[in-house]
Amino acid sequence: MDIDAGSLVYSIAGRDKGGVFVIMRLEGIYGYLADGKVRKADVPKKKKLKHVEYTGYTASALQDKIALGERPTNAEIRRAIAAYHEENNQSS
Amino acid sequence: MIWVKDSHEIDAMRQSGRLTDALLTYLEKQIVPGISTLELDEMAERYINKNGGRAAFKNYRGFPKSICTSVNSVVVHGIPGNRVLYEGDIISIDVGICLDGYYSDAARTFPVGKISAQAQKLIDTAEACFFAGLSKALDGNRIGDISAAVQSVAEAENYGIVRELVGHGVGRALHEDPDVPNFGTAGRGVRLRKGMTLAIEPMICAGSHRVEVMDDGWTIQTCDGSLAAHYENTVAITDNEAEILTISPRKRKR
Repeated sequence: MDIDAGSLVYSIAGRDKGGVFVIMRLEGIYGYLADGKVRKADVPKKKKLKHVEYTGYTASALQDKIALGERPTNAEIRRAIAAYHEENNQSS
Repeated sequence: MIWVKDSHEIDAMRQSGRLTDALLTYLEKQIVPGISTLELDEMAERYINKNGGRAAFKNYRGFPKSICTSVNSVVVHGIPGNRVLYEGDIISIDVGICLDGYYSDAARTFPVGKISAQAQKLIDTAEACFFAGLSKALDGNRIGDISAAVQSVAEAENYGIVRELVGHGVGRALHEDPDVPNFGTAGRGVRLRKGMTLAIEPMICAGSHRVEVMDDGWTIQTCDGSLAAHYENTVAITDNEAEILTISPRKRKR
């Protein structure tokens, strides 16, 4: 599937394994990840894309900001991740 | 939060949309004077289930049936029941289907037998409103561009545009962000982006735009009893013109 800046991914390797992050930037086989909380937007984690799994969700608001060259705020990143969890952790 | 769909998801929605279109085409042929809205609902439910889908409206926030059947002055959310259709009625049928996890939502207003010229004009205008909005559904535009286009077509004919009900994102759920109002200011609102999937659904009335909810908690009717028409499709924003997912490729205009 198509990962882009603004996409939400799971980390599947490393100490941050299991967490959901937003891709801030793509650079070849690497992505720069942030979650707005422990890993903030100004110091994203450089991670090989093979060590992440796409959730299927890409937030258009973040995509827009990054495409315009602006950096999403930590609050915006946290909000996107929270929205993802809310849509997916509903017990039926 | 607005989620952007990638090409695989749009494919899935295309499948879902195709079924929705097929269902509406099928139901259109069943509309004759004398048929009841309940019969239409039962046919719809059988059709959806036979094709592997799920009727998305059923039990959605408590809605009791699989389709909305909205006759004459009922704008939307009419509950199928004992209402029999008569020559001269107009009926809006709204359908939502979930197929393989992806939702599509579409509605059409159909004539029952021969209808008045004014009624036909209302129906045609609702459809024209949709296509005006569609022409603005481009990557880089804003939601307000769609809203303003819909509004201008309706108001050019002096029809009322329902304010309380809006279009919406659709895809993994029946209703997602963003709201897509049928009135508004161009240049305002969320920026549209390739991969967004929206249900654009103009609802217009021959008289005033004021509407009220009936005692059943669902049926929405014009306050002044004037006729109301509804036309809706699920569309995907692309690099070029938006793609209508709920009209099969053969039938697509323009």
